[in-house]
Amino acid sequence: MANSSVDAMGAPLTRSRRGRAIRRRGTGGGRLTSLLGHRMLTAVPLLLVVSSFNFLLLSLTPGDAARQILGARGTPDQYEALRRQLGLDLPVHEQYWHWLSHAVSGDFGDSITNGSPVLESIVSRVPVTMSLIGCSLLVSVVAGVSLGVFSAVRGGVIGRAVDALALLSWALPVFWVGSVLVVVFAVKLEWFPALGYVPFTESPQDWARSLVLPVTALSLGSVAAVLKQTRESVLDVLGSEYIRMAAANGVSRSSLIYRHALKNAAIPVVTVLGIQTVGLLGGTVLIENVFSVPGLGSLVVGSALAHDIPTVQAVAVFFTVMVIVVNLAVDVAYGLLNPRVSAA
Amino acid sequence: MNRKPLIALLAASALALGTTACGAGSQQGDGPARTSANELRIGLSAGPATLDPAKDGAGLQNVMRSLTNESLFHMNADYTASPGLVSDYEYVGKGNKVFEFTLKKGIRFTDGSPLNAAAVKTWLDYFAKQPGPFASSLSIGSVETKGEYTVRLNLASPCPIVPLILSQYANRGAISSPKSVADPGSLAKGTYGVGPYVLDAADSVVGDHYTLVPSKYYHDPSKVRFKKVTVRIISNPSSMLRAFQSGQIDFGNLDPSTAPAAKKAGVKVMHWRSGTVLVTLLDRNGTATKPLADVRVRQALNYAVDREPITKALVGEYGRPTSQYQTEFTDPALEDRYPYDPKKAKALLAQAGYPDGFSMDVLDPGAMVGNWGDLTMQSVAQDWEKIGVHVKVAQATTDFVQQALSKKFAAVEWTPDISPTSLTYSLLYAPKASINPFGASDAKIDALYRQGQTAQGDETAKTFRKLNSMVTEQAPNVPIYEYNIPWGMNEHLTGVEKGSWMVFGADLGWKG
Repeated sequence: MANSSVDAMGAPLTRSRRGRAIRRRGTGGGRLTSLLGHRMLTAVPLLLVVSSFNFLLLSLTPGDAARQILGARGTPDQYEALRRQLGLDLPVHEQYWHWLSHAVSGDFGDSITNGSPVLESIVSRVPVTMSLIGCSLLVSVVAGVSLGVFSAVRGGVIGRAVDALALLSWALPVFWVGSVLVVVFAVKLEWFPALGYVPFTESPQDWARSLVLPVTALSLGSVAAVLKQTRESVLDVLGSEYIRMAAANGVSRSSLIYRHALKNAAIPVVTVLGIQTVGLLGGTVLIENVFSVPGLGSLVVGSALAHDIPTVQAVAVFFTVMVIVVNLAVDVAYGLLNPRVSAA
Repeated sequence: MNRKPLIALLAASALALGTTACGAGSQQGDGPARTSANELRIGLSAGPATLDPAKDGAGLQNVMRSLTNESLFHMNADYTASPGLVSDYEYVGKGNKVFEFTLKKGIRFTDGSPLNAAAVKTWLDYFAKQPGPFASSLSIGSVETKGEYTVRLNLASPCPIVPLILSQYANRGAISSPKSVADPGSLAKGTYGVGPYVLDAADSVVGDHYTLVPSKYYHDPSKVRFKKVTVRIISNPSSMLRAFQSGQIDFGNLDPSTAPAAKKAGVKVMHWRSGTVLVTLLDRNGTATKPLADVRVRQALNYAVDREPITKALVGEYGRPTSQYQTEFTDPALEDRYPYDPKKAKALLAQAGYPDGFSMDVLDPGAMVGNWGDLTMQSVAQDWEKIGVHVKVAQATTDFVQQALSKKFAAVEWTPDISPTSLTYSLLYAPKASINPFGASDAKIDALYRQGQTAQGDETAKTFRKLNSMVTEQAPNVPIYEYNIPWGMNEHLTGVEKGSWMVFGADLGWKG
């Protein structure tokens, strides 16, 4: 591969680092177990670091939950009493230890503001965020790969136009795109709701309708990244020696593209998808706000403003676990896609 | 080249995006969310922090509470209180220290338990002990039950406005059932008041949307107007506007920047006074910033502000300039007590011994009160600069109250909730008021307050009118403009009338 760095859209153009990692570990059954075990072991310190850092940052945030609850009319006595009741008068490390000792047993506590068990809030909102991210990934793969291949194969004016569109969509702010989509498709055309979310179990059709606009806005950037990476990789592979040899030996053009080029180009695309998935987690925070969707993003924003430490902590841990899982999935997929690498 | 696979791939991606669009398109005409008369859909920019009225704030969240919790008294648009769940009431003896009321009979909470004196006592005792924002609004020594339906409050300090405090203002009147009080965890997650609607927890997501269904125990079923009410929390003002434009909500709060567009889209917009934007001179006794101790300096700061253009720029038609903070017991003649007059301001500064002005630090609440908090203060600071008063403005984030109490700031710009005069005194002017970090006090204002707390009827009004006029003259505040919350509502919606104090326009109107 000619590409050796990360391009302007954040798409890594190299597979050497991941390739080496897989090469060392391989992807056989035993190797996969070893990889999983290794990742789980490294996840523990990572979760500790993230949760303690998050706790520290929250403690440094101006204001506190007691004042937030009491507002301007709370007397000093009330304020001090509530701080004691909430444990906010304890040193930060004690507060963190108290949280951690419960969290390891799955008890993430109750929300400071509304008293609901934090885990309950998260469980009720996970399907929403997962729907957004899952559908966005699907759109990114289908649209990004197909347009990327199209752009690489056709080249010329069409290729450049697709490229330019990709760059443009990548550059547009998610919340702005979301607002424009709402104005056109919800307000003017009335095809989709302007906001809100319908659970799949309630009505699959309404669930899909409620997701179309937020998913379109959310996935635009990752479609562009996948498109760009696919185009580069396919062009790269198509220009390589062995493809030229295969062409000279009479292998058909479509077979060259879909059997050889696309398969080899898939590895960096998977890596990009991993990065985009992590990016989508952040993107949901904005999108859930614009579309008033009850996912984890809107939960964490509201909780952070209310200094609801238990809720923010739990969402941060969940997001960290998600990042770990995505990275693991990328590594596994990488090995599965390229047996030559694992066999090396 | 064989393009079939490529075309198939493109078609698949188009299909992924398009299938649902086709399904949706078939519904065009009645829109994705046009309502029926049986359903009410409300949008609020902020929702309840908790459903326990004893721990929740008041304001926008009262719109939802008005559907689930009727109050012992009802606060009217003219700042008076009428009986709600109460049939009779009176102050016993003189001095406003004992208050007695009798409950209407045959009323049940949404969990089916009866409303009686014991239930009221349980609720009021519970409310006083909670760390809620309004726990200090009334100091009750003890609650006595006299028979099954009569309650007597023995107050720890005199209060002439008990009916108001037991109204929807300040949540204490939003009485909840004894069963829920015994289990505060459930009270935080459900509605257990006396009201036409009850929360359907299974169809609600805390902090996002709440579904209300009719209570089978409501005492007047003929007034339950809707089969379903949904309250959706939409914090983004643009999203709220779009929700109106797309017909997804029937009633909700807009802001001055989005109300004109909503009007253009055919939404009916009503507005009424919701608060006052003002600068409170915390250090008015001159503890750290000596010039503020002189009433002429405080008046100079009032004269120096050109309120008209600031108001026009920031809230447009949804507000107006004012020199008075209070809304009740006011003197209309004092509305324009401090017209823009920088020459007079400079002369007053010179008379006070500060011809070259002075400097002070001021705090504003930043984006926590909308996008106009900081802009207002920056505009005021520019006006003050013209008379030689140099202001360093700091923006608070989520720590406004802590910063305001830190004694680092001589003044704060904010939008305190508009409240009855006696509660404003305990918020701002009492030596131990909750927002009085320097302990500033004025003996004359203190005396009038004490007099007003024990007076009754016309005498209370007369005393508090005098107090408010004195406050305007003594200028512990620099009021800038009153602001109105624009409320949007679909044309078919009736029964919404202008409210008073904060946002109570929508309460009992829903039943009419």
